[in-house]
Amino acid sequence: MTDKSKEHFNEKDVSKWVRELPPATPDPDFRERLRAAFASGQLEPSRPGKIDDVRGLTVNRWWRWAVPAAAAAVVLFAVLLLNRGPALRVAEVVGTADVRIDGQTLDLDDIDALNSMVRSGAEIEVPPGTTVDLAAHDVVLYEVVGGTRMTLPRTPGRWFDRAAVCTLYVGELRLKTGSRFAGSQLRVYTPEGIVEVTGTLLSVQCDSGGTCVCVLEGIARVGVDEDDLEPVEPGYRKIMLRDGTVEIIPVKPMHRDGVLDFDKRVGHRIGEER
Amino acid sequence: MSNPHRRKSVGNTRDAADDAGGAWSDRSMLEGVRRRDPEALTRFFDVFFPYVYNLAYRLLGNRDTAEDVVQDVFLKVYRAADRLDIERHPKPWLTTITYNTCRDAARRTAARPDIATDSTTIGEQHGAPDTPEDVLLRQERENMVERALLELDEHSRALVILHDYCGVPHEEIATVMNMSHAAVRKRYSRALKRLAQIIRGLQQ
Repeated sequence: MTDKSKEHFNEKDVSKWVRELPPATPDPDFRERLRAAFASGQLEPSRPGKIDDVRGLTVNRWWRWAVPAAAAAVVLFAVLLLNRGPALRVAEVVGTADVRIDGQTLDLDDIDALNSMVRSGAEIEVPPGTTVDLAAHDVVLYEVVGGTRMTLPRTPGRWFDRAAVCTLYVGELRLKTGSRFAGSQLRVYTPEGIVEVTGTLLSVQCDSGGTCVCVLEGIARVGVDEDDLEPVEPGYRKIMLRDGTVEIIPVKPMHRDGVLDFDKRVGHRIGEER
Repeated sequence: MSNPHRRKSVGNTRDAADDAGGAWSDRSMLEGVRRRDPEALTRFFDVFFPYVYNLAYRLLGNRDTAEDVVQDVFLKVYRAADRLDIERHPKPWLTTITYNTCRDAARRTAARPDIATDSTTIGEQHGAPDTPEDVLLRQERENMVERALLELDEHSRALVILHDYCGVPHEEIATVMNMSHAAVRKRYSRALKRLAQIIRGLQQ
């Protein structure tokens, strides 16, 4: 290489130098052997084993990525399917007035129709005098008391995506978690605050005055917002009034009795598979 | 039919396969290959062997592995001969087969390049050198370019070899390497820059 080319060359020069590279000379014996074998159809693979065939003018190797991609998609689909928690189903209905789910009035006797409408995000309205119990096998049991309007949460995933949320607009929601709820998290949003459930027996009541969270077992974290969440221990209730008053006081017998009655009446149904 | 590899390519003595009016366009030869007629196969081999061998050798940088690849390429050609499209130039097809076979061989073996040290693999020089000094300078530059090519990653080397050494247009490289045309142009440009950097590094 000249001194000049050492100092001044660019990509065009490099391209030109590659073009000017001399041809490689094959071993004449190899060439002659291969030529004779090719012409006579006596060619063997260079090494034992399978030689990929070729099709027409292109080598189609789509299966090299399609098969693993399809397998990965199947595995992913199976994992997502298996991760899904048990569906929420109607465990018991008491009362005479029909409930409304997503604006549709449903006959209390038609459990299949109720079940078909019970899904994550659906808005349920239970009129006074009627109570609806919903259960996700071994995970969670809800009692939607008469006079309640709320959105239904989805069941937390088994291994991941384990957080669920619902909104209680008005009324009372009683809640008991099951053995498979461990590690999951449910948040109940009310107009006054947030209830974070990680395993407990409690009720959340919401009316025009404010929100009251009564904890009977386990611990729930309750607050007016994310930063305000604080633990409420068993036997206590946290009241968050619309005028901003917040206090934690012992649960009144009337509140306790309602939740205990719920547990005694339908608590065992959380373990029933349907 | 026009030659799909428009640039003069694969060394100055390696262009029998490129000639627009050459043997490839001889339909009788390609028809004979389809019938696996020994005479047509021999002609086909004579026309395309230099191209396949040079491409394999430049991509792999190792004579033994290149010979294995060439053997496998011609075996694949023989097996697929009855499906050969006699209306199309066989060279893009051979390029694809050779490139893919080289990739398989490179994955299978960790072949040590011998281009830089094995001077016997370099064939006759092209052009008429003016003086012994010219010969020396040319050889020095060729050695440096060969060494630099082998320092490029496999993908970049293939882009430069296919486009510059073999004269394969970018559109066709895109098909061979299963990339978009724009990606081939961009990566080719990067590969050349990198090659220039390596050559500068080798000079110091």
